[in-house]
Amino acid sequence: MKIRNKIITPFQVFRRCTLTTVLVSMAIGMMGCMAFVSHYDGGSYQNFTSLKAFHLKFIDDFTEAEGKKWDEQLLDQKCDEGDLRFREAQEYELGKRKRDDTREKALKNLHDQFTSDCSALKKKASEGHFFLSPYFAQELKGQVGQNYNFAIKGEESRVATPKK
Amino acid sequence: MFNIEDVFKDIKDEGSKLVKDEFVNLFNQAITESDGQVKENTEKVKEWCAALCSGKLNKDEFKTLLEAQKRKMEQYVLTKEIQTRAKLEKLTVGLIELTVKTVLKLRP
Repeated sequence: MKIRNKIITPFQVFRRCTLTTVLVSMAIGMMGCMAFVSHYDGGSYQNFTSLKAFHLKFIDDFTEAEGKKWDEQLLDQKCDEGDLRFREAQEYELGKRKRDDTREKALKNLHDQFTSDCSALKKKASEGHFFLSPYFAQELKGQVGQNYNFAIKGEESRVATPKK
Repeated sequence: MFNIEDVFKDIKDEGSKLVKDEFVNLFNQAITESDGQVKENTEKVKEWCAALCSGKLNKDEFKTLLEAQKRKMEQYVLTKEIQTRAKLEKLTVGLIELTVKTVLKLRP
């Protein structure tokens, strides 16, 4: 057998084929068994950053400040709008051909936080205490903001993330 | 300066004292933890305990902050998992692709 002007014995052909087969099998095996996370997705990244901005603004909007008047309808409207935004982001993930449970978990965590913040505000209002106190709002924003930062960092850690 | 044991200063019964000891032990372990995030969280809990005792936070707000911190830490662990799995993929798949490209070409 003659390949590239070199004489290759049948044993060498067998060895080369075996090595290739082993390497390809290893690659397929690793991909299947280790369940790698899906690659970077610009749409998911955009969803995380825009939800972060919305959520932090929501806390600001319902924090005590001079001249602010309580508007229960506005609270309901913002809670509905936030819920819709999270549902849209979750639908975006569900619609992908290759679903990734790490992204779905990250979004669910953030959605639960938003729902909890809405419930806390509604409970406060039902007890006659409107708006979040500035100290509490600042501390809550710190925790919520970091939660989003971790989710964004997770997206940026994936394979094929564009370089900044 | 606020001490974490001040939260329990009015507690007299034995059962609650045991809970207090367990809490203080866990708190002291967490504050010396090498993971920066765990340490930061513990310092925040101490600050919120002080705010609760001084009336700057009410019980509901205190609970809401602790729950938000718990969710944040769940996200932190998830992000670590993503980072580890992505790094593994970059290393293993990258290595295999390179092996196929180079070793097979170079070897007779």
